[in-house]
This record gives sequence, structure tokens and C-alpha cells, in this order.
Amino acid sequence: MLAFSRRDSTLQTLFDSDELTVLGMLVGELIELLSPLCPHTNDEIFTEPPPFWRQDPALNRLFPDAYRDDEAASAEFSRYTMADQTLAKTDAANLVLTDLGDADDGLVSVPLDHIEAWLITLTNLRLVLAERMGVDNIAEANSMDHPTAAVYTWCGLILDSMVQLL
Amino acid sequence: MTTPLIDERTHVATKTLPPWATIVWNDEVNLMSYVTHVFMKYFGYPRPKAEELMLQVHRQGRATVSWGGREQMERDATAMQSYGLWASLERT
Repeated sequence: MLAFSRRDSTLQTLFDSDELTVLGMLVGELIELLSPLCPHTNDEIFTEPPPFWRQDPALNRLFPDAYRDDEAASAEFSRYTMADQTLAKTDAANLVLTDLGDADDGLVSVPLDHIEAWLITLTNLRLVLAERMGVDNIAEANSMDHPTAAVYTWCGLILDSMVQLL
Repeated sequence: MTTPLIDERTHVATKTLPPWATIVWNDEVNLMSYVTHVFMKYFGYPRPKAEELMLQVHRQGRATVSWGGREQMERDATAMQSYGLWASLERT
């Protein structure tokens, strides 16, 4: 992967086919992770999120307690914000998939109005990967000889190369 | 008639409640460049202020990124969380 560069009204980079596949797969897995929390009808928007999300450290990190010392207020906050947040994260991930799908011979063009979606999705991916690796120290992840650590670091490079252009 | 009096007192008490704050906590995942970007983008803070807050998060473990009424702070905390930052709100 080359660092992103600005061209016309897009940010562009070149991915090889493995990189395209891996990123697409990870984003797909993120969407899958979020899908049980997605409301299917308007009636479900303010219902209690399914309790299993509390057992998953990655989901807990994506939806942290808003009130650290008040469990009831945090639960209420989750009830009112989680569905919207889940939809927003899923929409962002889908925009990334769209841009990856439109890649032309490895050339990925991210329109300016998709940039936030990319930043948010790459961040969500890194949060999930870090939780899955059980790593809470970046230096540790960087030194790990492990495919997940390599992917985690790689997502960070993509993210940083985009932020540098803003 | 005591009810109006109680209502009035409640109202006064509500108005004088201390404001709330949105806190961003340090985590080992989020990139310094990205956190700065989020503070500039969402709050409209100039780069020096955004960088100062980011460094405060990094070095002190937390920073207060905005103050205000509870509803606004819930909106700000939600926004920070939607960017993937580790955010909460609390009474100041």
C-alpha cells in the first residue's frame, strides 16, 4: 500500500489484490459484528440493546459507558443512542465497501465526503482488532509477530496517511 | 397552594445545577493525529487547542473537551464515541 495522495476531489491510493481482499473482509466482519445490534424497524430504535453485547469486550469498547459511576444512567444512555450509533457505524463501513468495490486495478479513490466514513471505520476496526488480540499497548502490537498485529498496524498506517492530507 | 412554590424551587435548583463536562479518556489504540482531527472537526477547535487537548489525554489520561448542559454533553459524548474515542460525561 502506498500512502494516500490527493487527486482532484478524492484521496487515492493503490492496494494490491491481497490488501483489497483483506480490508474488504475485515470491514465485512465489522458489519457482521454490528448487525445483531441494528434495529430492523423504527419501533426497535429505543428498545433495550440485546444483553449479549455486554459480554463482548470489542462491542463494549465500541459502545463505552457514558456515565462511569452510574450504571443506570449508562444503561439509559445506551438505550437511546446505541441503535443510531450502530446504524451510523454500519453505514460508514458500507461506504468503505463501496469504494473498495469500485477500485480500478487496485486504485482506490475515496471521495471527500466519504473520508470521515473511512476514518471512523478504520478506527472501529482497530478497536476491535486490539480487543481481539488482547493488546492494550500499541508498542506491544507493533512488535508482535502475528498476522492480526500486522493488519492492525497496517490499518493505522492507512488511517494516518489519510488524516495527514486533511 | 404549595405546589407552585415547589415547582418554582425545583426550577431554580435546575437552573443553578453545575454544568456537565464531556471527558475523553486515553486509550492505546487511537492515533494522536486522528484524535486531533476529531477535536478540530467536531468542535471546530483551532489546531493548537485540539493538539493541546490531545496531548492532555495522552499524558494525563483524560481531558475535558467540552462543558455545558447535560443534553449537550450527551450529544458531545455520543459524537466522540461515534468517532471511536473513549468518551464519557460527568458533573463538573
